[in-house]
Amino acid sequence: MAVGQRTPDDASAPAQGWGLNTWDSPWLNFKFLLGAGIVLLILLFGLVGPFFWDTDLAYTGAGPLNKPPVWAEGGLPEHPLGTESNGRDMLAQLILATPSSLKVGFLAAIIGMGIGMALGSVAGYVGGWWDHVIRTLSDSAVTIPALVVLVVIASYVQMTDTTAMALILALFAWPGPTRLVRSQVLTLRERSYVRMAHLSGASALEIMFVEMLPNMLPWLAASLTGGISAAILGATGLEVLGLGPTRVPSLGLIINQATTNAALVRGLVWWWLPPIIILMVIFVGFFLMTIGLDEIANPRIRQFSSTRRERTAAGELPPVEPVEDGTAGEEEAALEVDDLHVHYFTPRGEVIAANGVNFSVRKGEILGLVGESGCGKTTVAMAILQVVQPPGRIVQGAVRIEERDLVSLSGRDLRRVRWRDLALVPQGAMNSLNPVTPIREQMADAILAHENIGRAELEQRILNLLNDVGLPERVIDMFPHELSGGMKQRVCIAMSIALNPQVIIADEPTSALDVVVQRVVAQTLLEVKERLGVSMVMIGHDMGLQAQLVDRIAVMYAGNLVEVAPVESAFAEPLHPYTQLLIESIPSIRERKPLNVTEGLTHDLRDPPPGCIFQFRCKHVERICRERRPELVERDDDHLVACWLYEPERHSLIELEEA
Amino acid sequence: MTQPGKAEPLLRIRDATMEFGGGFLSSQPPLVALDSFSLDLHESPAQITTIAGESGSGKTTLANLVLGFISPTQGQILYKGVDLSQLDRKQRLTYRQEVQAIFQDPYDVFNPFFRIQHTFNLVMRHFALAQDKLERRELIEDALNVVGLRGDEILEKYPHQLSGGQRQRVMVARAYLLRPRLIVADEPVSAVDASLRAMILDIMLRLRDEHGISFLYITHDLSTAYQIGDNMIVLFQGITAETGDTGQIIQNPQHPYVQELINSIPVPDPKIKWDTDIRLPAEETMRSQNAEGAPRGCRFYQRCPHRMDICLENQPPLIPVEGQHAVACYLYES
Ligand SMILES: Nc1ncnc2c1ncn2[C@@H]1O[C@H](COP(=O)(O)OP(=O)(O)O)[C@@H](O)[C@H]1O
Ligand code: SF4
Ligand code: SF4
Ligand SMILES: [Mg+2]
Repeated sequence: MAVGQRTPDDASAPAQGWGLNTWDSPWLNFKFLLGAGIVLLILLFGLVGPFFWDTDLAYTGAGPLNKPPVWAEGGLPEHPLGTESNGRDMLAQLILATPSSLKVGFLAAIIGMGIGMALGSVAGYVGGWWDHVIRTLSDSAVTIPALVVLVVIASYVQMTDTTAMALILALFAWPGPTRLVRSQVLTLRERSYVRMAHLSGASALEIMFVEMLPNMLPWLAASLTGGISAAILGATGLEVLGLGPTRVPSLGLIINQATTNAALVRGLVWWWLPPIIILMVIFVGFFLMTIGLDEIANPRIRQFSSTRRERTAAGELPPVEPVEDGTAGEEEAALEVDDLHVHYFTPRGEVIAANGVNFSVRKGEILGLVGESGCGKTTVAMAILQVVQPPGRIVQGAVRIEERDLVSLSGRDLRRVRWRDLALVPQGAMNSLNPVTPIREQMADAILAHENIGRAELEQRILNLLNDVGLPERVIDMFPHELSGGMKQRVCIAMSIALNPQVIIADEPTSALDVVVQRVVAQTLLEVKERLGVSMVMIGHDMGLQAQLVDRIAVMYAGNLVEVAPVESAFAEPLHPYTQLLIESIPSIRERKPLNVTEGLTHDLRDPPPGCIFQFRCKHVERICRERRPELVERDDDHLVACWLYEPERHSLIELEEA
Repeated sequence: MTQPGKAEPLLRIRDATMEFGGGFLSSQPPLVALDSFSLDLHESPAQITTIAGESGSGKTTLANLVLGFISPTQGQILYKGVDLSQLDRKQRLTYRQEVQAIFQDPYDVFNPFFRIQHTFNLVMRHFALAQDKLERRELIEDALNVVGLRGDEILEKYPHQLSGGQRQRVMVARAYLLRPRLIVADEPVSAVDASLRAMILDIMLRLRDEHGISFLYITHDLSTAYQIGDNMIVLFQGITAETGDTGQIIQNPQHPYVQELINSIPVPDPKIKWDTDIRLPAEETMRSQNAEGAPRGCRFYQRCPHRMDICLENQPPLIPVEGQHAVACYLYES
């Protein structure tokens, strides 16, 4: 039975980008784990400490005054970290102060998160007036200078314990989560599965907690860790100023006492430095957790940061030796894909997504790559650009541009070739535009990531690009949400041609657009091709559109190319049974044909059968088809097919051999 | 509200208008997503009614209205003669159960957190469809069989472990489980390819013929509508441009916009290439087009090759041309 893995297609769908039950557990993010480890260690120090050290030593008069740590001259083993001017033991103080500082942070952030979740979900879910009021409140709350107000409040309110402190800090911890939850709810409520739950009669609460909440977790967690460190920072600030509770030890209080006792000038380093170090470590820990969680929540951040780095790496390309190869084609190739194998190494086995894919794109031509979803089209596109997503990997093969094999390039060289020579209009590109950033900035980012040019030139360049794809100039100042689908898609095309590539790979550039807009976008692609003289790979599953647009067509089935031919002969005389099926099942407006219902992919991509890949669905299957894989060979002029039907000679030869 | 004598339509939409934004809190005028839309859908014979139009034409707004996700700013939506906003508790439950949906994206219809079973449990629980576990299991199995699936194959799996085709079929099974009278199918085959498309369209036909379920088939793809649809309404910027029998409209489109739509369907023959370029005026493609408030005159004016002076004055009314075939275009005013 067909097993559909997650395909790169849904990478653009945010809340689906993580999920504990997918192949790689997203929590296994190095930064997150490292940060969590650090925070855990600090926590342990405070929790386990009292069992090993007498915390009564933290109070006045417990020991001698101003003793340095044990390793310094004059240090005492009874006070390993020394004592301060009141004779309190430093280690005991730190053991007590650390958890109390953490507690304030956790408490304040959790209260803030609780308020945020309540308000945010009401705003997002109920909307209308509620939304307006809550949004205004939270928006104005973030503009208040928190520390100043905190200081004012704290100097009026006598704080007795950490809980009171946490409550005051929570006043500033709710707007962030509120805004976050609101925007998450607004996005998630449009998701089909949430609407489905609604149709299934689920109540608002059930939808919020069962359907939405799990999908927000990484965002909430990132907001929480960020909130905790902000609250600790606020609390420490107040304590240092002496505005915190004075009876409970806290890291800020130690610093406060150290400064009021002039520890700095008196050289009592062991008094003021340790709490600062612990605070730093705590902040580093939470910071790592927060950015780790951000990466988990938005898997794309990592990708973007690598393109930023390219900006600095503007060195010249080192010469690359041309690859010795006898396959110099009859016609000049702009791009050659040679015996490409891509596998996804999933815990449940190896998905063979591209199996010996071979084709070339000639200069100035449009090559169509068609096949049903999951057959490996996107994988091939990604492999050409060397951006196959893990757990996928190119296990064999070459991708050549001007004799240079991209598979063997790495790092900087590869990145340069990748965007200079090759450009990608990814699947669902228009949905990957950031809705809240103006077009100008997004296009500038794309250009500046690879080139260093001045402002005026940049502006002109962007305007020219917009013009190239037939968009009016004022689009430059618009936001993606103000544009129609077709316009967004054209912005993406403009971005892809920004660096004058030689080959553009467009992955389903017009799917999800209606016919009129589809036609406009297709026209745009044709014009761009003519004007820039680029070559193009057009990935798609709409055979009608392929007929209109491409010069040659390559048909893919379950990771294998089964037919490559000039588009006229592919339509006039499709050779492979699968291509025939594709062409027969094009819906027509000329006649009402009965539906041609066939099974989809019938085998598991992790377990391809020996022999022909199409054997389970083929009407003409014979014994040989089950035993040997037919090769892609030229049958007609420039018309290649992988099917035993067209190889009677070899077929009988093999039978003879076997007999 | 029921008129005796005449059969009450299953779904009746009367002059429904849906505006977004605007209001005194906003500086912008509202966007009219759907403008005075009317439709009668009868329970029998069950029919597939296509709502066609480009993205942003109001198709999904219409789906959301019928599904009760939003309520119209003006006009009425009646289910079995009762306005959706006046349904009592019991009627509401019936309506919820009897009006179901299939959505476009087979990747998005399942919460990635739960096994497929969750989807079925949800409906089972809220509509109390079964007495006990056994009956529950049987009903689910039965629904899955209708779409050619087996329970042990999929119920315990997570959505990402199913192929797109399986997911889409599970969605149909879920809807079928509720024995709906009407299924709103919002672009159910736009994101799938040939083999799957045919399979899903075929299931829709079977549900119509064997189980008497009506469909609102929402699509931008006229060719699949032609294959399975009975009636058709073509929307343009929230306005009904043309309505009638599917065959009539496809073979003999009257509205200049519908003609353009049909001409834009790529011909699956490389020898017959698109001859002329079409140009959308830049304004036309922008949603902010409606920014000056409800525009007067025909909304297709800027793109229309046949535009006349009169077209600028008022939105043309629906003018009957033949039988139930009607067009909103002054060219047909006699
Ligand atoms: N990240 C991944 N992990 C595991 N399998 C994957 C992943 N991405 C794609 N696949 C599998 O590889 C095959 C090819 O997918 P894809 O290249 O997206 O096909 P197409 O673009 O033609 O729809 C499919 O079976 C898909 O399930
Ligand atoms: S090789 Fe055999 S099974 Fe494969 S497509 Fe050709 S005839 Fe069918
Ligand atoms: S009413 Fe006028 S502008 Fe509108 S479609 Fe008809 S002819 Fe064209
Ligand atoms: Mg794809």
